[in-house]
Amino acid sequence: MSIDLKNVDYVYDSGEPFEYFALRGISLHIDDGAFVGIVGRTGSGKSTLVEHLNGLLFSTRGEVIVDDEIVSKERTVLAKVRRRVGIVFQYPEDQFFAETVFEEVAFGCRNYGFSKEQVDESVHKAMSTVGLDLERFLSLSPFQLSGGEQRRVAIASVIAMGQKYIVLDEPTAGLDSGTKLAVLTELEALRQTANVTVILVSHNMDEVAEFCKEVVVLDGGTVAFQGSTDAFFSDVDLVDRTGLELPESYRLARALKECGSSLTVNECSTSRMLDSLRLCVSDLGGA
Amino acid sequence: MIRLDKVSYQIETSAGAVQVLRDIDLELPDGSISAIVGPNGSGKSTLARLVSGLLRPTSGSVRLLSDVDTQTVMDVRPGLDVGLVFQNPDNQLVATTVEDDVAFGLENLELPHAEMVQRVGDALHLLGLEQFRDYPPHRLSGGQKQKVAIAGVLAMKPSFLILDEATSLLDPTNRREVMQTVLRLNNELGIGIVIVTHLLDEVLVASRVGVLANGVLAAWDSPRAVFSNQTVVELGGLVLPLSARASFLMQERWTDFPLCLTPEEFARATCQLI
Repeated sequence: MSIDLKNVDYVYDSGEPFEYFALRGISLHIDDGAFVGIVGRTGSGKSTLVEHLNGLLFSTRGEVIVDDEIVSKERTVLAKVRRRVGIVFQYPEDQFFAETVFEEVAFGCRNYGFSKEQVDESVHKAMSTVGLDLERFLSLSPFQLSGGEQRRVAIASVIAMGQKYIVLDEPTAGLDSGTKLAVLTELEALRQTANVTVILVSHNMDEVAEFCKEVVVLDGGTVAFQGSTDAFFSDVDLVDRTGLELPESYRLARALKECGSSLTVNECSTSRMLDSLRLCVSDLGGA
Repeated sequence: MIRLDKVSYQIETSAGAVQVLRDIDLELPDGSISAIVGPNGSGKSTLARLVSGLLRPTSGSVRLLSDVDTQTVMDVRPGLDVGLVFQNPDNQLVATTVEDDVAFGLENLELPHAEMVQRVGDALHLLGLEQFRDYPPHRLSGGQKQKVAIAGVLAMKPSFLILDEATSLLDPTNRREVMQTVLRLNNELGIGIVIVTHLLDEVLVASRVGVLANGVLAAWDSPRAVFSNQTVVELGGLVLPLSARASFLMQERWTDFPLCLTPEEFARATCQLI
């Protein structure tokens, strides 16, 4: 099972003076159970791309295939695809409407005909996944919460539906660093335990390096790179050309090498970097 | 400068009154760069709105003082003295073209037409938006929209600019660009900057960092002092930069290893040592 894009073009205002190719010839393969990052500068087509994954937008040319189902405007197909792919939008809190946090998170589950017990269980699980104490927030209005809390409630309302593929469009913008880590760690746990596929659109290269094994790099509506995250960040020229930056851990490894430090570490994510630094320090300690 | 004296702010909810901020004392000198950090829900955005005059404190005062003549005291006029840029540009853009959007605030000031044109032109130029002058804002990317929002605020010629997580939705290049622009505005025009942020590199450009925790100002100090204080770091929900965590690792073995905040600093410090 996988998500596949075959030669997808998406053209805004096709045939008109403002005609604009948001996506051009995109071919992609995203495996079941992967944690994939989608990165690229502002305007490179990231949001347009993810809106194709559950039929919010339909390709002008080419095919989007979700688990062997070709995404089309046909009702039964769309219902199937949307049951599998959930999207957390950039400003999810703009879509709040319910009177209480519980109702907000439960809404999607009810639509899919969950029983009362299933709704309760899903809401509880989802709220703990995003690190919110349900008892405290249960009966509050979602409109009363702080920006970061709203963001987390919005993420919970998508996670609660238990979809196979969860797409998050810059979910951590505006979350404090601690919460950011906590939410992503929980998503990774969800991936491991429930084989949920996580597709993360992000501008934060540190979190991409930490959590995404693979990365899709978009540039001007085309795929500039698809493959292992490590391989991408090792190619400094490509990172620069695509308007991105190196994660702090990669910059640290390079800086150490450049000044000829005897502390040598491989380029890798933050947590792995701290582990190998710890080893180095204990090795060098005797000297 | 802007001076906050014992500023408290409370809101009424169905569950009773909630104290969002309590007894905040703060001085923001003209032309200074400050950062405000803290966990979600700690009151950062409320503080930003209070400083900009959009909200009035429940008790205490937010005043604008002349640095030269400390006798001249007045209330902050929202939009005029302090410009505020929010996270989501879509909620800040109103007009059908970029140019009109930047002019929107000015239209309420009854300025002569020539001056309006001049100010809009200057603002577009400062943000590098000239080529988008006639574009409908909704056709721009997130980063471009955010620059339009900043241009609109700058056209009002405020003495302070508050960025409430204004770059958190931008890509690294745009973020750097916006930050460079903001620093240039500070440097060339002497605009005071307050950056509400979760991003570390934005904290490091500030001379003072305010750490909010549960509505109280837990610290008001230099970035280095803030990051050295474990209690403040935890209270503020901050995750230390890798370089700082690596420095602490080094300190376990070499106790006088300095606290480094960037990879470059860390590399230099290790090379001097081993």
